[in-house]
Formats: sequence, C-alpha cells, structure tokens
Amino acid sequence: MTLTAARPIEATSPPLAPLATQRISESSEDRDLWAALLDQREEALSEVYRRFGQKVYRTAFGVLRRSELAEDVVQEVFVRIWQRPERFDPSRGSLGGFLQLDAHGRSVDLLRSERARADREIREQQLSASSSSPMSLEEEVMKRISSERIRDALETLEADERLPIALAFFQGHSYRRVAEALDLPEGTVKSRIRRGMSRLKELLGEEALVLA
Amino acid sequence: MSHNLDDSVAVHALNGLPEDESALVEVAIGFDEELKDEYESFRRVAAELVEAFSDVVPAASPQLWDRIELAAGLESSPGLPPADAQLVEATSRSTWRRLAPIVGSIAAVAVAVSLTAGLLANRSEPEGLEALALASAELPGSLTVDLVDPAAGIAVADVVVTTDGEGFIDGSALPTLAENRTYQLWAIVGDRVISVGLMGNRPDITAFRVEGQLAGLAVSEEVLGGVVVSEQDPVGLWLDAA
Repeated sequence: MTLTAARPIEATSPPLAPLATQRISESSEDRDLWAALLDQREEALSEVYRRFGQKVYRTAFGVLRRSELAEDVVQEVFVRIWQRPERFDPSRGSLGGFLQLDAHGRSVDLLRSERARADREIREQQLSASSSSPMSLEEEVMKRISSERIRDALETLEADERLPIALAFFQGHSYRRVAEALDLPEGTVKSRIRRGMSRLKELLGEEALVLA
Repeated sequence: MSHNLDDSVAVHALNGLPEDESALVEVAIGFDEELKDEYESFRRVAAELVEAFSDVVPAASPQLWDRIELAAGLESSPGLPPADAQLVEATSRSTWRRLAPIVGSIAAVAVAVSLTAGLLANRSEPEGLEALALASAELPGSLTVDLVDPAAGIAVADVVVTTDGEGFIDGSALPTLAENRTYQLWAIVGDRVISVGLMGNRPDITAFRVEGQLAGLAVSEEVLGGVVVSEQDPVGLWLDAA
C-alpha cells in the first residue's frame, strides 16, 4: 500500500464558479466544504472524512474504548453530516470541532444504551471504585489530555468543579450518574459543572474558542 | 426537570444530560436566543476539551470509509484513499522487515524477561484502563507478553491481548520523551506491519485493537502524531517464536 496524501479532486468548475461548485481540495476551508456538502457533492464528504476522520474516531474511542463501537459512531457521524449538513453552522465554530462533538454525543448515547451495557460493566466498576478515591480517577483523566493549555486550564478549576466535568465529559456519564458516584445532590453537580464551564470559557478565551 | 435551566444548558453542552432532559433543553434553546448563545459558547469550550482528549488511540479500520460510502449511498471513489486508511498500514519496505534476525536475540533474553515480568505488573488499586487490562488478562486465551529492548535486553513494556483482539500495553517503564515525540505501537500480522496506536511521550496504559494472527509487537519512538512507516529501530519488541 502506498502511503501518500490523498490527491485533490480534479476541478470541474469554471474559475469563478459559485461557492458551492468551487473545487474541493486539501486547502478548502470549512465554509467551502460545508457549501459543497449542502450541494451534495460526494467529493466533499471524502475530503471531510480525509481531514477529520481520524480525529472523530479518536473522540469516539476516547469515550467508548472499543474499536468496533467507535467505528459505528464514526460512520453515523459522517452519514449524518452528509444527510443533514445544515446542522453545521460555520459562523459558530469549526467543522472539525462540530464533528468531534457530534461523535462525543453519539458515543455517550451509545455508551448509555442497552447495547453497550455489557461492555460497560467494567467501566461501571471502575466508577464505583473511583467514587472512594475520586482524585485517582481525576489524575487518570488529566494524564490522557495531550494539550498543556487545556490541562493548565482544568487544573486552575476548583477540584469540586473539575471532577464532575471529568466524569461527565471524559468518562461519558450523565450528571445523574455523576451525582450518584460522588454522593451529591443532582442540582449541585449541575451547578458545579456550569461554574466550571464558565471558568473554562474565561480561561480559554472566547476569541480563541471562536477561531478554534 | 426541576433544576436551573442555565445549569442544564452547560451540562447539555458536555453531552451530560440524559435523553429526556436534553430534548427539553433543545426546545428551550430553540426559543431563547440568549440561552442559545450561552449554549454555543459552552459548546466551543467542549470542542476544545474534546480536541485535547484524543492523544492515545488505536487506528481505525481501513474499511471504515467503505462502510460510510455504502451507508451514505455514495458511489465508490477508489482513487481517493481516506486518511484513516493511510494511517493504518505500513509498507513491506518498513524497517520492521529487518527484524526477523532479531528473533534469536529475543530468545536469548527470554530468561531476563521472565525475571522482570513481575516488576512491570506491580500495581496498586485497579483503575481505568489498568482495571480493563487486568480484567482482560484474566480472560481465557488471553496472550500476555513482554516487549524487550533489543539493545539492552530488558523488558520495557508488558502487553495483554484478548482472543477478540482487544489489547492493552503498559508502557510506564519506558523513559519519558520530549513533548514533540511519541511512542508508537506496531503489530506484525502475517507479513504486514500495522500501526495500532500512539502511546504519547509519557506512556502509561494504552488500549489498542489488532485483527488477524498476531506475529509480533513493537514500539518505536517517533515524532508527535506518529508516522505511517517507521524508520526507527524498535525500543521494545516481541516476536512470536512459533
């Protein structure tokens, strides 16, 4: 197998073609890709997958820890963006971020479903075990974060804000399950998550987030 | 839902609401621009978090794009290999092809490996991937092996692979690399060398998946992000002598 970068798709449009029919290539911006998806141009989905497929897969695997389940999610995410590209709004963030969050959401859904229940048993044991030593689980989550910027921001949070976020987002548990694990009222967990998220928003900076 | 709606919006942005509540919050967001803006801003934070939380994974199946094409009803586009497929397989020109002669030396250090295997398994309370790895090691038919540094002849990582191909490698004995480097795990299946995951620069326990008859495993030190073909000599290696 030859391991070279995917070649750009040949242009079939005139130089000043409308956005939706512009050439799709490795240098196409999110907005161009989105417009081509709206126009149902198949090469756009290929390029979106080439560009973001691995990231989306990583996100799904990060939650599910099972390759076959993660691949199911990746398939669903890319079929969804193909079938309903209008769900993405390029003015509100990046296409990669949108797809990764969609994958995270679908992964969490799958994790909580009946289908994943059997696979989740060990994870549940893990959460139960960690409820007696929540700091250990938190440390484990922090070790899995590759970005120093994000790690620094999370470490700036109060521990009672960081742990619910770690359990809900990085471990894929609903806030109800988090409340159960931490033996806290559900409303308290929610408000701590919001407080932590608001703080992260400040720390990471709104402008940077929009550009991300 | 009796809790504060603003709180629920933040939790929803993290995909942390159960299905019944998330549907209600979606409706509320649709009617309230201020709430929608708040949700979108939290969603951007979540996008940053999810991007940061993707350092260690096995490679996706090279057939995944074919599945997506089929499910989306696309015509096949064989001239456009997806990136994921490129990340999965290394060519037969890889330096790993030169590893066969090392089998002999691996056998020579087998005694040392057996002596050090217990050290790598030294664990305290089972948690997270470690719990999964330990549980997997208990499954009937699971393969448990050590990867040995061919140069030094010492065990540097231990691995468990279940009969259905789910694997875990404990690389905590490997030295920490610079921030712009990573350890990369490879599986030798038949005559192919396949990248099965990046372990990061400070490896601990990494999950991976491998399909087919496993003939060997190797770890190399690579640039951040990994490579499709390694040009490095392995820092850890196990070859199935059979």
